[in-house]
Amino acid sequence: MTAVTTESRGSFLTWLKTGSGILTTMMVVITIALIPAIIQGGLKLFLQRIFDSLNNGAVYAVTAIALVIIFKATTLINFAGANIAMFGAYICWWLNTSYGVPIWFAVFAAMGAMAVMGAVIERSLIRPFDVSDHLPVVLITFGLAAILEAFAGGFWGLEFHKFPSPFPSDPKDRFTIAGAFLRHETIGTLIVMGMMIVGVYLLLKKTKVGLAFRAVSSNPESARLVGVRTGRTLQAGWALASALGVLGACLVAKQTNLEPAFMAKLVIFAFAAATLGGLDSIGGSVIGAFIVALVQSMLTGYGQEIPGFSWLKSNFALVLAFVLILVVLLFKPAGLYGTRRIERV
Amino acid sequence: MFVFHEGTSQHRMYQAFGWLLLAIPMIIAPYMLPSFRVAQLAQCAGWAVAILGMNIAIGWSGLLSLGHIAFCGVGAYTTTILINESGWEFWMTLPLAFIVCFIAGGLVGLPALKIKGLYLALVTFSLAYTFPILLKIEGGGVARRTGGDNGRNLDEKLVPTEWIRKLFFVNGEGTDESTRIAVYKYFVTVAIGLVCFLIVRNILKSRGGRAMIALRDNHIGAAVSGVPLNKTKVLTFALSAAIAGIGGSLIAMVLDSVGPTMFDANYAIITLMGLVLAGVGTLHGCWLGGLFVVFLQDLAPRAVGLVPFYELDVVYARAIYGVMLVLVAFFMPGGVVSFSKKWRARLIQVVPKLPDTSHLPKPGAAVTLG
Repeated sequence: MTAVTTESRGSFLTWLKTGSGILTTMMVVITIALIPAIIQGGLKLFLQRIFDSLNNGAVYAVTAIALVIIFKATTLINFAGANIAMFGAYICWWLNTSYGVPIWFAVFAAMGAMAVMGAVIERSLIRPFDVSDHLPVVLITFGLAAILEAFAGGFWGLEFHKFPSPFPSDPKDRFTIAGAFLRHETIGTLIVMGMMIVGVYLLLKKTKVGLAFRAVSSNPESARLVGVRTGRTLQAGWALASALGVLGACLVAKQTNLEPAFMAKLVIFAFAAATLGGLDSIGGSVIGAFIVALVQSMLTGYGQEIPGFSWLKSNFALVLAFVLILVVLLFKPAGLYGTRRIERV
Repeated sequence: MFVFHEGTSQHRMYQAFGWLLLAIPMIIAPYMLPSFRVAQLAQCAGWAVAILGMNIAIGWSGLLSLGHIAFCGVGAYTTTILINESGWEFWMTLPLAFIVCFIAGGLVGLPALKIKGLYLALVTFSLAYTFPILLKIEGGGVARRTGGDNGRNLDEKLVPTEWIRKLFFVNGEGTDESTRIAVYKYFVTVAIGLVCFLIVRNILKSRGGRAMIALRDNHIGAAVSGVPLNKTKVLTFALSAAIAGIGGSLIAMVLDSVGPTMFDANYAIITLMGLVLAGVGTLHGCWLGGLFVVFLQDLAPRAVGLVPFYELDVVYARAIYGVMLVLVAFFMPGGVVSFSKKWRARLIQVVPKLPDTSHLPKPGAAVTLG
């Protein structure tokens, strides 16, 4: 049995312990830590690093939302999600380069294809198992990840492919704000992500499917008793998550280039974002994603200039993500905005 | 259908026969096979110990850890660095690798107190992802000691001493030095592996082992029965990490080299596959797991080549791992060991011995209270 607790906000101290309180504290700490760097490097560099982090943040957010949707529905962490998204990005690239399908049509086609695939995976591979027994489900998702990676490598080769940008991506396509460049691509990514979040929000809050989804994620047995078709709903959840994952992959593929492991390298950041924000909170995981991206950008950007820390390279950000996951799960297992679940015997 | 009563001489004969069936090929094989196969078998033994470590966590205490490959790596790098930088003997590095991994496992195990189920899988999988990057950190001389991307070769190789040569290669004219070293390493890994298996077997039968299994089956019930949950969890995790570390040391010794790609997320999945294919929570399944880890990597690319009508790329070998993971989850949830036990039970039945009840009062007899 799980029960949801609401935390009372009595005084400042109790507020500090809530998600918003921790978030504010974190932002204050980050800002204070950055003051010497801003003074030394100048505002322009600082803005540039923030702009750079926005793009990553948007992509982490989309990928994290895909994880969160599946986690909300089935309390299952989908280790195959990254590779489903990767496969979708390959389909998009293949449609675009081999058949000349316009890029946005290709993105939607790939999203549709992977949505179908997600639904099929849920029906055939996940539903036969009881999710409360974790090992088989972990095996299945890992197995799927390996299969998809192998097939992507087999169909399209292991080499890097240039992914066509869905936004104007000429080096000149940029705004200049206080000397820092804000690329049109970044703005486009942010707009698409914002539209997507609004779409998901409306879907969950205003439609019948969304109501069914929320019912199932809150209590599957009761939902079934009142006539919600839980299986179908979960299937829809998988389809939606897979499609969103593909969208995230298509948005990021321009920067990372296409190769079979490109999403698997990013997914740890999405995990970190989702754990930070709360694995069952869509809004929280978006905030988490931008924080992860910001800290990553600042640490790898400024960290190298701190004496004795010249070894802080971009791949060290993965270590940061790991530490973040660990710390959050230790001290606030539900994340900033997640629902705390209390187990009762 | 054969029926054996436990404790009779027939049953003992049957058991002895079973052990001989296992032991004879293990002793003969290194002398019959070409040296690279012997080296592969030695690697199998190393991986078997690593999988044994994973099994303590996943199989017997229900802590779903996917990051044991990192502890394996810690063990391997401890051995390598001690041999290369401090000039230690291989033998002396093993206890230290055990201790280092025990401490590392304890440190990672402390969070495992609070993190449960799939969250633990998430954290430990991230650990497996992070470990190769930690090896490449250039600060504090880490990358210099671990060799960074390239890994390191072991300076001192394990070579048989004079009396061992006399013992193992009495008429060894036909064999060259590399074969002898391979055979020697095989016996060393198997012997150390056997010691680890004995230790784990005895621990499982002890009070601590029963506490561990109780923890897996019902942690609330275990706590009510007086099992110290936190202590058991941390010690279990530390022990499993330490055994995995010994496995890593053995692998480093067999291969004479270590590298970051040997202990990455990819190998985390391969060892997990070895574990579940052999059987989660079975002691001797771990040997099979070691065999799977090494030989599936050998066989999967060839199996891809056997597909009719299509020239398939070797890339598809990874798909075979994936398909096997899915198939195991569906059809052999207990792995090969429980699968074969099920079939053996149709042929051979062992009737367990009745417990000795002579010290208990007879039914119907008057019982005096107090």
